[in-house]
Amino acid sequence: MKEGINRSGDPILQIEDLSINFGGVQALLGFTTSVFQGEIRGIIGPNGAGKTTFFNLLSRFYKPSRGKILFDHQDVLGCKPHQILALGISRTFQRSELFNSMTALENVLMGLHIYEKAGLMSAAIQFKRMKEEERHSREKAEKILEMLELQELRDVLVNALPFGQQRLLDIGRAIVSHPRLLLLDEPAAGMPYAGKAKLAQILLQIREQFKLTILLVEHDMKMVMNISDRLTVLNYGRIIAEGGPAEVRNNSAVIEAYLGKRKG
Amino acid sequence: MKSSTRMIVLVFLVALLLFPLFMETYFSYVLCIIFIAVINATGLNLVTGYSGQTNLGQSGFVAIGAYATALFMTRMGIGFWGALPAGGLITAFVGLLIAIPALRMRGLYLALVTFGFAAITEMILIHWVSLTHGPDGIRVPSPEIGSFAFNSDLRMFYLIFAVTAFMVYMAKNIVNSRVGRAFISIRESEIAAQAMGVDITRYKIMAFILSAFYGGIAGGLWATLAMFISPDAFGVVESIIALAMIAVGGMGSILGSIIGGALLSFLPEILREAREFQELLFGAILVISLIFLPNGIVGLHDKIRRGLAK
Repeated sequence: MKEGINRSGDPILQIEDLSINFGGVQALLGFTTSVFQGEIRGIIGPNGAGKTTFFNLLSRFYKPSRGKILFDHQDVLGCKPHQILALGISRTFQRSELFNSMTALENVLMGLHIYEKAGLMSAAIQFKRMKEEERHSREKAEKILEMLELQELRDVLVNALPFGQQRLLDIGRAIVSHPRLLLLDEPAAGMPYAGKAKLAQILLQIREQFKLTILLVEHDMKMVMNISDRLTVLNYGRIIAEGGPAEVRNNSAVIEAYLGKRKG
Repeated sequence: MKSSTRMIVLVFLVALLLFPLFMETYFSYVLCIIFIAVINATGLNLVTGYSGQTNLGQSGFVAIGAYATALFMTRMGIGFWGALPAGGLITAFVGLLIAIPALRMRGLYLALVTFGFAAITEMILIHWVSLTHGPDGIRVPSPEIGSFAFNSDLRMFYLIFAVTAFMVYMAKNIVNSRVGRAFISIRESEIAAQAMGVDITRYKIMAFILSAFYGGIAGGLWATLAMFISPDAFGVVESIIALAMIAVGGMGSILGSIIGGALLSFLPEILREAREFQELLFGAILVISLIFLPNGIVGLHDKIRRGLAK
């Protein structure tokens, strides 16, 4: 856990009364929270609690029925999905949404799309500036692959990569653009124990190195309790608890949501 | 490109350039047909193979490019060197107009809309007699540079070769660039593409415009090679054939466009005498390749390599 997250200034992410329903199902209701710079915020809750829905709202894949999202004082809801990364919000996906027919390196290069400028003409004619840009991007992408120990797999197509490495690559693709907020949707799902430990270490490392704020949706309680500074617990679309790991672990509403109500 | 690959390509190109000098003039004509098909298949592959947007309207683009080039030359007296790119650009503009409804649709619906576009284009060519001379067609003059006229198949061969090489070179560069990666990302996962900041609307439009431009240039070249155009050369079946070319050669591969374009435009020439046979063989090749080579002939390479590795 990291000490000294400054909670006195403005939060980097402010969410107010965020709500959405899908045909009568209230997937998220009155979601309100503040996340501070440098924080790792675990978002937990039983299946169907609204965790991924929350990420999809932040990514603008869904439109909320009401509420506000401010990221660094900018109105996230005023953006289109493809403009979110430029704000500094990046994400990974629960089910792999990697670009399967591309190599590992090309996937990471996609993360740099918005920082490259080559248009159709300069790409077609291979202007010098464009070649320079491409070389520069490749260097950046290679560095990320090295950091994740994926450099050997640089030219391997994604669908030939082992599962655990696909998950790491998803993270690499998300951070190569140096976002300020990273949304991780179950990064440890399906990983072996050793993979999870390594993943936790990588997350702590990239937080330092990239000055990241991280929202972490994760079912692996040990991992999420270990690395989160604070946790937000959802159940049936509502926040039922929020606080530090120890606080949340002993919260009766949380225990009830996970284990059911104690009889008698 | 690796230097060994580059060497092979170079040798192949030089051999190709010298080849017609030693052959009957008919071979030059056949090679021209092949080149034009390659340009067209390359364009179609950008939108369908790379970007994943079904396009069954490619014959409409070829038709518009052919007629625009021909009309610029005959009605407005613009030389071939202005008329061809102008024809390509007009077709690209039509591609933009097609892309707008296409953005709201995918799969089967997109296939139907683009197919409808090709069918309507054919109808317009037949019935707008004052512009197109309807079924009577238009005679198209040969390209010229000063007093040098490209009035033989051998001369046209070198012209079309140069244009094809340039068009393929540009396509190859595009697919290996940021733009090409954005195309592929849309095909693979629209949501991940958006999360990477790809403006998918913009890139889908761009892919359609490119496909149309390539089709238009192919059409313009065809008009001047054939020296006569009429609507029956631009039936909707040509759209299917173009799609078959990239399916057989390899979706999402420039080399696949070349191989598929060459193969499926060469076949009808060797089967000229037996038309009913031709269509049979055509269908058989398509079915066989779809079953056994879902990634086209270029996919064979990977298949063999994996087979050897076992």
